[in-house]
Amino acid sequence: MTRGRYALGTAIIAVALVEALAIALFLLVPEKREYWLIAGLAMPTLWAAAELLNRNRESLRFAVAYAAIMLAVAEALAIARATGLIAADDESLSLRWLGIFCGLVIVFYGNFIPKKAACVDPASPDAGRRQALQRHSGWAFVLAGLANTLIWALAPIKQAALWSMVPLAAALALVAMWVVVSRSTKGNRI
Amino acid sequence: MSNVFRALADPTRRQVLALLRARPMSAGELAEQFDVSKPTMSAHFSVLREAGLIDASRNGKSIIYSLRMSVLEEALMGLAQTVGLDLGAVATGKEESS
Repeated sequence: MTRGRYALGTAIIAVALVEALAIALFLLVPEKREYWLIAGLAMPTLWAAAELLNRNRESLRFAVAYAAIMLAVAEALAIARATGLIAADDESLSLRWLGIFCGLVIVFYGNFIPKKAACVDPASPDAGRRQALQRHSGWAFVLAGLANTLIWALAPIKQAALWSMVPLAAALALVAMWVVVSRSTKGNRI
Repeated sequence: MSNVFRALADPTRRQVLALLRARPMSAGELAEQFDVSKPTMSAHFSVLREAGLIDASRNGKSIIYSLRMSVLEEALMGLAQTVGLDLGAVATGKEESS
């Protein structure tokens, strides 16, 4: 299967999941029907609009799949609350699972950063620096994602949202610093 | 995944990957670092390419290899180097069981 087809298939499955869960919630939680209606309609509408406006459809479809999976997790947690699998008043548990999921997504994306082909000629003098930047960025985001996941899993829920931002902010700051250092090095522009 | 395990199981291939961490290198530059014949080195390069751990691009007459390892693959390589994990056995086991 080509990467383009894989992206399309993943996006279709993820959006279909969002729609199925939105319909289930529409029936299970009638007092919040407008939310589930919006959730159900927004995803395919935004995707269609983005397809028309964006030329890089492969990246777009992966982004759609990611957004749809996030929404599907939130919907699944709402269903779990509505059906009594999670205590109805325990919003913190849903929030915790959502935080853990976001952390794992960051780990997943970070893992593949060094694998992405750099838009630079491997024979150019910049190639080594660019490759190092990609490797370091990947490691920074994987470690930040793992830390984020652990914080959401273990920290008190009131502090988890704030604390989980610290490793991500640190990773972003490190990557920004590496970019600046690489740019400032004489004759080597990233 | 068994391709990756097989590629990382060999110390020469791991050394090639370690050299490519610094910068992309030509096939000739890489071959100079090892005391093995050119056909053997070519075989190592093709195993690494099949596993998706390196990329090859032609620059004039020479082929430039660059690293394409995910964080997990790099961590796996580090583990194999430090604790002597037998990734070849893992790869063979996977193939036998499948």
